[in-house]
Amino acid sequence: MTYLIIPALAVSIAIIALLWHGDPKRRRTVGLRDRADGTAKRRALAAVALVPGLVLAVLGDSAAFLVWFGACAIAGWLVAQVRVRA
Amino acid sequence: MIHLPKEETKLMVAVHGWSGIVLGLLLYAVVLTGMVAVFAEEIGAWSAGHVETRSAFEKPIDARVRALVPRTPAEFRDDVNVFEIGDHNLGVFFHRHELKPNGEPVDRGVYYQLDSAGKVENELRGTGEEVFGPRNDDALSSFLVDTHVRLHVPNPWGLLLTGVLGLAMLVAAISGLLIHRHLFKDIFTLRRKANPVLVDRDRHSVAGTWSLPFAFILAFTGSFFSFFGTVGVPIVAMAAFGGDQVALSEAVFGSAAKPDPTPRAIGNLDRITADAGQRAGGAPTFMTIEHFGRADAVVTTFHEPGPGDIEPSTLVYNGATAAFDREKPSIGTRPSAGGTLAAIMGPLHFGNFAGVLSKAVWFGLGFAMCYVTLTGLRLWLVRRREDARSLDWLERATTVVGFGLPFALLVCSVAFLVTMPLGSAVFWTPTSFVAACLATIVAGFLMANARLDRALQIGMAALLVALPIVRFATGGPGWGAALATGELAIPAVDLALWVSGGWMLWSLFGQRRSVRTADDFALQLAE
Amino acid sequence: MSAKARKWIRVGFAGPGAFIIALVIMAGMALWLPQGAAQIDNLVLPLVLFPLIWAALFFHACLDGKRSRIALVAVGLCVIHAGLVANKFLSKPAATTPAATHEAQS
Repeated sequence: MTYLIIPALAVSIAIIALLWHGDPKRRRTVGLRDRADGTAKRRALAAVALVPGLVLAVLGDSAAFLVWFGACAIAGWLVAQVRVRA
Repeated sequence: MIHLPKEETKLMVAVHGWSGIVLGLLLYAVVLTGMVAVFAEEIGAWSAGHVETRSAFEKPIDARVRALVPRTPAEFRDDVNVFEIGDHNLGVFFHRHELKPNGEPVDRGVYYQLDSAGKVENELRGTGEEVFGPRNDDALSSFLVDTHVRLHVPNPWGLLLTGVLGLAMLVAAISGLLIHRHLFKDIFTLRRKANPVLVDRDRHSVAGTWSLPFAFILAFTGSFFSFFGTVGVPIVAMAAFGGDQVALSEAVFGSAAKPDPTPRAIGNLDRITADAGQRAGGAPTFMTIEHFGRADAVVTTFHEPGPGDIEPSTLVYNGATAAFDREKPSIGTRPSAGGTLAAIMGPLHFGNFAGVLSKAVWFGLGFAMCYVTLTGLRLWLVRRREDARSLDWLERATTVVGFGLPFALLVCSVAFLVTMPLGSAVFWTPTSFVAACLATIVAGFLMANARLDRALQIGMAALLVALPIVRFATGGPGWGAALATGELAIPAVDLALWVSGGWMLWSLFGQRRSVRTADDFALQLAE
Repeated sequence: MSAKARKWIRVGFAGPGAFIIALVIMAGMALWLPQGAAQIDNLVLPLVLFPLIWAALFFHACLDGKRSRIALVAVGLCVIHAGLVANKFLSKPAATTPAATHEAQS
């Protein structure tokens, strides 16, 4: 499996954290009603988050792609658990 | 995300809910044991105190296999399977192929279990189904895998049951996708100070959304494994070969070698394993010798996937000359779309294609799916509690199974560690599991649900922390001995148990004392 | 047709119907799928796709508004694939049991 899995995961998980931070509905439910991300920004971020996985797939490293995909899913779920007080 | 008409959405909600309720607790048992079984190999090494890290195939095997030939009846010397058992020791199965009256192929022969010196420790005769059962040192990992694959129900009913559960999970995943209107908008929303229905709904849908693609993959591959041998192969064999399952097997797996029954001694197996190890980048995990002792003998070695691949590699050798013939795909005699698709079902389901890294990811996804199943059950119950319907029995059943099952698995792990040195682990591992289950069920009748919930969690946390200590106290190797041979599984599993047990104890007792301040970031795992 | 009967048609095709018809489709698919590069695609793909075939039949039975179309698709697929299998058996010489065939060959 290529060493590229590490930067791929780092980039995608960082963007997932950004998406979590700016998520409008999450911010509304915890009382942070401002500075939520707009739809265009969120779609762009989501697209960029997928790029590392696409790179791994294009390189033909199916093992790395699957590990990336699964690790991002777990990371997204864990990030969603983070609790913040308004 | 997908906007169905109202009637269809209502039907999908009913399908989603009822498939979860009717089969949810059994499905939870399969998913939980599957999650743990991802690390069956590491748990096997940890629980039996195996410190050998060199593969049996990296040591000489040729002399050991040849020594078994004179004591094996000629009728069973058609084919030979060579594989690892116990602490990287050798298992050798000389056999012939037979057919049951219903046309199902079966292997019958002699199974030798060798010790680390290559001497025969045990010899078993019979069919593959009869001789390949749990041993004293792998009773725990065998028990976990068997629970997952067929819930200990005899074949074929156990496999059909887990197959149906896989289809139920597929239905739940697809219907869940169809009913969730705002999949991506809700993906980070976990309301905590809200109506209990909303709280449970958020927990369920957030976990479900993130793990959805894998729920689909695992349900689909899992039901494939359950159904392909029990109904798939007989039916396809019936349609394509008039019921001849052997013809089907030969068409799919068969070698292209021309038959030549002239007696010829088998070539040097050590030469084959050395060459194969070099070509494939690692020692074989399994070896088959077809037409043993004949000029048309074929030796096939199976290996972990190459770098970046998920499909295992397979090398073919001329058995008589020990010369390399070719690399072949896992399924079929040459690469094909169907062969590749069939070959990746295993790696996609087991998550073992990239060592500990892929196993850790699959374990995490399994945990998420257990969480989805349990929160789904709770959501269903909480919704109906508002309607004042009496479903106390189902709430208790959810607690008994939800926490009772992992509790019972931990109890049987302790029992395994204590009884393995005594040689009675094959009996006491499942027996202690059943006893712990019965005790939990009785407690379910006698205790209030909330108290039972907490008691089981405390029990689990205590056992998690105690297990490494029990392992060492019953004669298991210390970290020094394990690290000296590079057997990282032992300290790794010990640490994992302490971390998870410690985390549970902190969640149960420590949180009451913690003070929440404004702007306080705290990572809270599943409550 | 009463509402209850219509409901049971849907349940029948989604439940046991989907399973049985998926098995029949699996059998018939082995006879019409192309064999592929290794001559095994028609044997292996029905086995691999069985859960998806079942799921497709199940969700079609649940979501198609027209019950008549549900019945048409399900019964139609079943008849076509069963017909393929029956045709194969009828065009072969008299069959023996698989065990006896193998005894004769070895």
